Amino acid sequence: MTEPMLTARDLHLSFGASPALAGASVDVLPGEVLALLGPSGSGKSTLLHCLAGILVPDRGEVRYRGSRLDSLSDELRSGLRRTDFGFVFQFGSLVPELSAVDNVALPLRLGGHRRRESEARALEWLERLEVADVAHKRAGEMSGGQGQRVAVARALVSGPRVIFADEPTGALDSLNGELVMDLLVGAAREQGSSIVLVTHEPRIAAYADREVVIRDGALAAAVVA
Amino acid sequence: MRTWGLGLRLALQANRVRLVVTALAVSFTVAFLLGALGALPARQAKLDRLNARDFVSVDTNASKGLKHPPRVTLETANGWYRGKPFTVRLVEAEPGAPRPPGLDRYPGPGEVMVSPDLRAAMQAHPKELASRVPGRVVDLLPDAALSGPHELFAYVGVAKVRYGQVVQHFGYHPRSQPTPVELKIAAWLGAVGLLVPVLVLVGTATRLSASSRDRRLSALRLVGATPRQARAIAATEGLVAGIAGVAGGLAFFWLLRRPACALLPFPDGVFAQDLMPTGLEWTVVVLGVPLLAVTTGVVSLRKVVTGPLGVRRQAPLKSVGWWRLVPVLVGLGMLVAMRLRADRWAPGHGIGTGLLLGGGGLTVIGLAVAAPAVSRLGGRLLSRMPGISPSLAAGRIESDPTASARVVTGMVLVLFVTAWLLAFLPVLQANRGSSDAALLQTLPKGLLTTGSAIEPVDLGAVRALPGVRAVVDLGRSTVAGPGRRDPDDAHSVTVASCTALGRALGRDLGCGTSKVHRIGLSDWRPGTRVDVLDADSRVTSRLALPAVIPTLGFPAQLLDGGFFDGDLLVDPSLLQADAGTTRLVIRTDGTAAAVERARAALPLSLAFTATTLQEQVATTGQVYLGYLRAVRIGLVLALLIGAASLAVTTADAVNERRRSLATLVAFGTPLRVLRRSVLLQMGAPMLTNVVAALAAAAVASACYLGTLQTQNGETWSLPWGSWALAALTAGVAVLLATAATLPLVSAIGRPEALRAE
Repeated sequence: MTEPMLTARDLHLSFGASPALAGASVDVLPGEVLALLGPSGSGKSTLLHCLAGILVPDRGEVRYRGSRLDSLSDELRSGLRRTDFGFVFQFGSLVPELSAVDNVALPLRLGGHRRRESEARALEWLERLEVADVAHKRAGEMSGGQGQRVAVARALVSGPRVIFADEPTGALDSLNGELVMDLLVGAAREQGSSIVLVTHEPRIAAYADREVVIRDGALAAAVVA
Repeated sequence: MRTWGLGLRLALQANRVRLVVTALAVSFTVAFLLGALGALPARQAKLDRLNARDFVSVDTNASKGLKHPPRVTLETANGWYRGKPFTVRLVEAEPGAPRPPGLDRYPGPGEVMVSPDLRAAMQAHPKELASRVPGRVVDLLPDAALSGPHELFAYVGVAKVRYGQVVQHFGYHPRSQPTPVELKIAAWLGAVGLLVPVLVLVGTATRLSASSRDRRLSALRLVGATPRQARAIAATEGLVAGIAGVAGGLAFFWLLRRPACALLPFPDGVFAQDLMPTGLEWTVVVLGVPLLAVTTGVVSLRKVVTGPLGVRRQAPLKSVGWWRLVPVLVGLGMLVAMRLRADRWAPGHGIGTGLLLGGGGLTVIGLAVAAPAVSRLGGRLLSRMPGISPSLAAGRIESDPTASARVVTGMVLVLFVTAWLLAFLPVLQANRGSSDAALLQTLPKGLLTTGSAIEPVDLGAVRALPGVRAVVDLGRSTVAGPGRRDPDDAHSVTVASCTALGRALGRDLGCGTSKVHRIGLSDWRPGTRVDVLDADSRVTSRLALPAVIPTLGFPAQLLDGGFFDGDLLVDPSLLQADAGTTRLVIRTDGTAAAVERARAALPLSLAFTATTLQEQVATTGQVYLGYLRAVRIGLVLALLIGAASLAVTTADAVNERRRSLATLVAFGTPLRVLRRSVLLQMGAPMLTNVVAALAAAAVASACYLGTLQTQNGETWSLPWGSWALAALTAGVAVLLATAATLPLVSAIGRPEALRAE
């Protein structure tokens, strides 16, 4: 049996008096696309943030490749986000003051790579995602679809093992949404990355190998696509 | 290192407005600091220049008959010209004689070397100076030969100097006296005082577009930037602004150094090259200010945690309690205690000094601490006003009074210190020259008085000059009363015609027909016969004092000022011998031309001693006026910087609220309501804080001046007019700064802004 890449067990997390997660458990297998489904406020984004080490659960544990992730320091979790994880969010994940190529090169540059090398790799990814023509435009000068493809390029540039995508097509029309998902899933499969996908759109969830439904902060059902 | 590179890139590409505003604020800081710190070295350089020109003389009697090196003999005459100090050095030099700094050679007989300002004066009024600077101008004196750029100074070459001294070497003191500690403290206090509003501006600028910076840092954290890297990036942004600011500040300082010299309260001005801080001060400013900018940027991030999902505050907004008023009230209480027990605890006494310094310091700190509470008071007052605008503004102030007070604090502290100085400076001036100042009020303008005349004076010629109204010469004689046993019993009396003196002073002295008058208090008994003595105390004649000796009405200050000899005025017709001339009094029409015409008509020795009262007072008055001007300029500068802070904050606050403003407009709120609310939101905290600062200044000044009154018996009044002007200036600055941002409200308040957002 394949060992899970990421494991969450009995996660509890509250924001003030409001519980967001109440005993959620889930496994993410290597190379699989896992969709987290559920109504608004069910806790699916919070679960994704805990799996990515962005949030630390109040109780329960998160393991990445067998090691505890939730007990790591902020510094080490930041390092993992830079090297092993990639992110595509609905809004605001690009630095508005930087050009597309600078945005894509960011994880590499923060990891200590040389600027020229980082930009060359960033340009490769922009070409693969068919947005090389906006390489030197800033985030505000691109369309929504272009911006999300740049975000996908940035998520993939460091060769991550897991990509976390929170409503990646939420702000796009259906045509652009499908294009972004095709590119994201295609590239991830090509380099063997797992994807944890939060969505409430069945059309987008259809890209997943497996779907889990979250309700009231816990797993309600699991479906293999 | 690469993180710094990324930070540099972000700093240059991200919010350029913030970068420019912060850099400008830092530039002002650097320029002000360098200017303020350079003032003391400028004063020192001025003293050094004077000392380098001064000389040690040779004892010519001791070296008589001996072979000596080449000599120069100098005679220095100090006087006035059109209200400015004026110095002429007569020179008789042998080739190879020692020279003062700046002189390649001495002028020969008939030649003159003059300062640039003196040459300009000679060209403008050739007749007025011809007698005092006789000869052909052969050269201009360079900066090295002068103490200031506006000095009136000349070397006049003559064949024979009559009353001069032979120079052994120039440079009277090996080094000038060091700057007094009090002056150093005052300069640092002035610099720090001016820094307060500038630092507020720097702090304000670093908070500009804080939300977009937070978004940027969050995005970086999401893709793996560690907290340390995020801090380094934020610090780099501050550092870039700091370095750009230092470069700008150096440029400002270099460009504005010359005009800034004109603001310093030193007679004859200061050379731009002398306004130069010490090496240590340069280092502190050039390294310290960027460090301060970086620290400000990092400290502003201290209270927030930047995570991959956004920014959250580590500490909730603190409530603003009335306890904030306690320090200022305690400070003022200490000053009131000093006033109430002025007879025992006056300044100078240990407890009195402690109460004054402690109370004053606590009041200044207390005003800063109290500012949020006073701002909230402004908000509460607004909330009671009818209309939507005051309610909107009151709501914003109430939600975060500390933010409202932040910008206000710098301006308020400057206003308090300025108000206190405006009350205190007249005391300083009065201590230095009250008698002269009072005399100015009682005597006619343009009244020239001279020293003793060595050479004969053609009084008729002086009287005939246009603009000369009256001339009288005062003589001196010595008399002794009956029963005189030794020479010490002799007394001096002033010899002059009472009516002529009255005409010269422009006053009715009440001369009547008597030929002898009392000057002030006098114990001469009427009807007494007194002996008139010569220089060897021999009796030359006898004088019978009249049966009635009237007392003349002179201002007390004239009697105290050494104007008269003794306490009797005797008409010259009563004396057989000529009493000589100890002083000439020349009344002119008060114009500079008439005064200089009279001076030019006098023999050279008298022309240099002839002084008007205005010129005498100017010696102390110029310094006082200089300080007063410096205080006023400091106030205006501080208010301008404060207004700039306010404009920046207002513009940023409006920008950050663009969505809510656009929503309000979309719901039908008129733009004028929003504009008015922005004005009130900024104006109300400023107004209440200004009132609080002036009230504190009034209490502090009244206590201090009241204590002095108890101590010295003199009466001082509070400068309400100056204070009102200062408050008005602050109000106008606030209004203009806020009004300047109103077009922004109109631009981003349109409903279309919702789409753009």
